Amino acid sequence: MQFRFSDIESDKQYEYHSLSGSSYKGYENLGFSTADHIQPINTDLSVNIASPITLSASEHLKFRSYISDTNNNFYNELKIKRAIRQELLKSAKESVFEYGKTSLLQNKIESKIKEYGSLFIFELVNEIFLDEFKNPFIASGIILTLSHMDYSIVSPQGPTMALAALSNKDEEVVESGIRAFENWEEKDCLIFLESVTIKFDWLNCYLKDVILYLQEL
Amino acid sequence: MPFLVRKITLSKWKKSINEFGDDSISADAPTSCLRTTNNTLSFWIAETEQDIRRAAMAILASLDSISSLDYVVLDTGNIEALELAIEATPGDTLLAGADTLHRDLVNLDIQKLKIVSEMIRDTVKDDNHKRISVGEIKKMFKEACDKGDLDLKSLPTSIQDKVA
Repeated sequence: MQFRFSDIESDKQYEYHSLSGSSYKGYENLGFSTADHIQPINTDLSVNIASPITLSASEHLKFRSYISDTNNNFYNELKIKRAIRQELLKSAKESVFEYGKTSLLQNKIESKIKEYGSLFIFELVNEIFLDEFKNPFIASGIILTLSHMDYSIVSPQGPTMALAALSNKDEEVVESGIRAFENWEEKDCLIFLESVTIKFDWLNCYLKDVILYLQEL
Repeated sequence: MPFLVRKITLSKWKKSINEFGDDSISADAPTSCLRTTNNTLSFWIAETEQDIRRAAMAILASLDSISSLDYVVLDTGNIEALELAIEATPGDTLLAGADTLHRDLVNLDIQKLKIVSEMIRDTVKDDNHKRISVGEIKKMFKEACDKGDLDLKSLPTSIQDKVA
């Protein structure tokens, strides 16, 4: 048996392959009542990885319930994820970013971390950063915000984003990346920085100073 | 002649010079770095090199977290010659006794703000801006705490964690 989502958010199209190899495609809101059309078949119990598996009647019911729950959880998670992402992006756009000052975005990130945990929130921040990589205001603002937070909290996504910032075409974004590594004072980051060359001379000098500082820690 | 000290975001001005040349200024640099309130712009006054360091410390003690500080030092003689009015106002800093070092440029209109912007741009262009690194800032905080000019416990937690 194979089960596949093609797009949970738009059409809710799914494809269900029965044991016999015939398949059923359908569109519906949520849940899988259409799967009722496919009767469980109690025949060959030997399972070949490449071929569909057989379900008993009770297994079929359990499966339907499991898929329904999983589907609902997945869908709810997606909705929550989208809503938080939207909130974070809105805060970023409304923020006044200044080195040394707590921004609206930082307050938002910190409050969301308390609710959902840092891994989940920084995953979303990372997504926004990548989407807005060509927007210097948002990209540098995100790195500036992360640079004000503790390395143990923002790691591993924070240093990854800051490293990506060093390759940005915009001076402000590059500066934010260097500043982040300086602020975090994490010697382990030297391995990322020592091989980096920046096209802006003044920022290359700054990077060298930061590398020296981290080496001396 | 006293000097006026102000924090800047260096990349805004560097980018302005690189993209708009020496004779113009990007809109982003003054609108993000020189945000006015009631047509005033905040500065810290200094008479000597040591005072400039104290003014920088006053700025640092007004922030929420430690981050390297870029700042410019402008000559008040030049400012007064350009008919920009300076007024003493209480400064928002945790550094003891430094609130009296605060000055505002007052009655600023767009022309006067342009003059200030040009002064900052030229300072950056001539590499006369100054930077204090995170390492130095931590030392400055420690010294100020040791001297009793700063109360460590009154500082934001993120600064306390780095200084302690």
